[in-house]
Amino acid sequence: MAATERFGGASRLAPAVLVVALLLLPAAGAQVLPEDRADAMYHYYSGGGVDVEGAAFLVRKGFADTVSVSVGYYQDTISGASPDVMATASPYTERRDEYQAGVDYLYGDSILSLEWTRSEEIDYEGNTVSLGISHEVFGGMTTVSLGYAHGSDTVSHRDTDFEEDLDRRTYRLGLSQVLTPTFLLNLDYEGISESGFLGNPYRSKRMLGVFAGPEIYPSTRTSNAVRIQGVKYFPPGASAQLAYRYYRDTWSIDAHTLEAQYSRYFYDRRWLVDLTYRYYTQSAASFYSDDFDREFTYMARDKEVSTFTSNSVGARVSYRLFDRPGALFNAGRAIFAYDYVAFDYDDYSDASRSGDDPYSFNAHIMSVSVSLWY
Amino acid sequence: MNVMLRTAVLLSLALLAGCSSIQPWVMPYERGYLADPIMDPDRDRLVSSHRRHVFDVREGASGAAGTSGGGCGCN
Repeated sequence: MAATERFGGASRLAPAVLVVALLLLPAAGAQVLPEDRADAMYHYYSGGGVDVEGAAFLVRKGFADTVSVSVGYYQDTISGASPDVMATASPYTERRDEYQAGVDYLYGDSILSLEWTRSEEIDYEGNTVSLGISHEVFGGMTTVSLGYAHGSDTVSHRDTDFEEDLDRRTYRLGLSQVLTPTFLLNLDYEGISESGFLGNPYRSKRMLGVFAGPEIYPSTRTSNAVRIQGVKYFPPGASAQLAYRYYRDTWSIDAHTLEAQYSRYFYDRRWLVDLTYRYYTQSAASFYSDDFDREFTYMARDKEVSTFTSNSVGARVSYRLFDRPGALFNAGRAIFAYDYVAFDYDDYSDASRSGDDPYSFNAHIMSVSVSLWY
Repeated sequence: MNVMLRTAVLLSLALLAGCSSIQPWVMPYERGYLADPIMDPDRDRLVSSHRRHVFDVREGASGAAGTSGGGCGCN
């Protein structure tokens, strides 16, 4: 069944719900807009034969205590190629530019948000518009949020005239609940409905040991993800977070994600250190095989839809550069973040090597950023 | 799927419109700890969105990876 049919009623309902919700809200309230802040970041990733690096900026400024505008830019340059691509193609260098603009409007206990994102690559173009509302109830103890996003992407190929469209609708529902003076509970749901070209024009399926033509993906995909997260404060300056996410989609991928984080201030709050652990596991899509023994309607060999597990440990260190209340820039922080990730595949082998041993690789995720408040 | 989504939407509207008679049990003056940036998992948006992007493009699953937004109710 087409994903758009499944979500047909809901997609018509979503924008109307946001408008009705806004009209129902009382005008007097106490929510506040995000802080005025500017961030600049250099980011780096290395793993599985691929290096990615680039810069990113995000600037937010409020006006008249009711409107906050944000603009952002994110750039990355990808070089190398994963074993999927190496099996049938050559390493490459590719650049991606992403532009983002958003506005938040404060109305009583509610914040209405509108955001536009555009991503450009030589062989991929994506445009997404999202609308969201968050509203405080129960004397500010509960925050309910609703969101809807519509994405329209165009997938093409560097060397041919291949071009296909991809349509994506995203539905979000969130609940954040204060349970005690030191404990917060967050619940999130996200449903995504995609239709169009969902494969990768550079990758091939393998049959009886031979790479034999392009993969064949279904043209629709519908996914549901739910997440529960608890955040606990430990006086005088530490917190712990634990989160679990369950994901399932119409390709029969089941995924579980567990995340734990411990955060603590040091030296009169000048330093803030976060230590994180993340566990992820997923089952394969129903049409995935490392090496097919015959033709099927749908056939894919992407390791992203195979059975695998990943474990990551990371640290984020934030250092307060200055704190000058009343000055033009009243605070500044420098942030260094690093994650080490180990990916272990059950049923995917590296075709560039002999043998059918399951593939595995380690990756490094790093970023250095500076944040200014004004 | 549709039934689940509609139920969720109706529950949300009920929360938005009619449940304000329940008394909050954590008073605003008790929410100082909750307002601390250390309680916000998404406090450095650029850093967390980069990390999330790295996982999103390498994993089959995506969605519901962020936070509900707001939440401390401390303003």
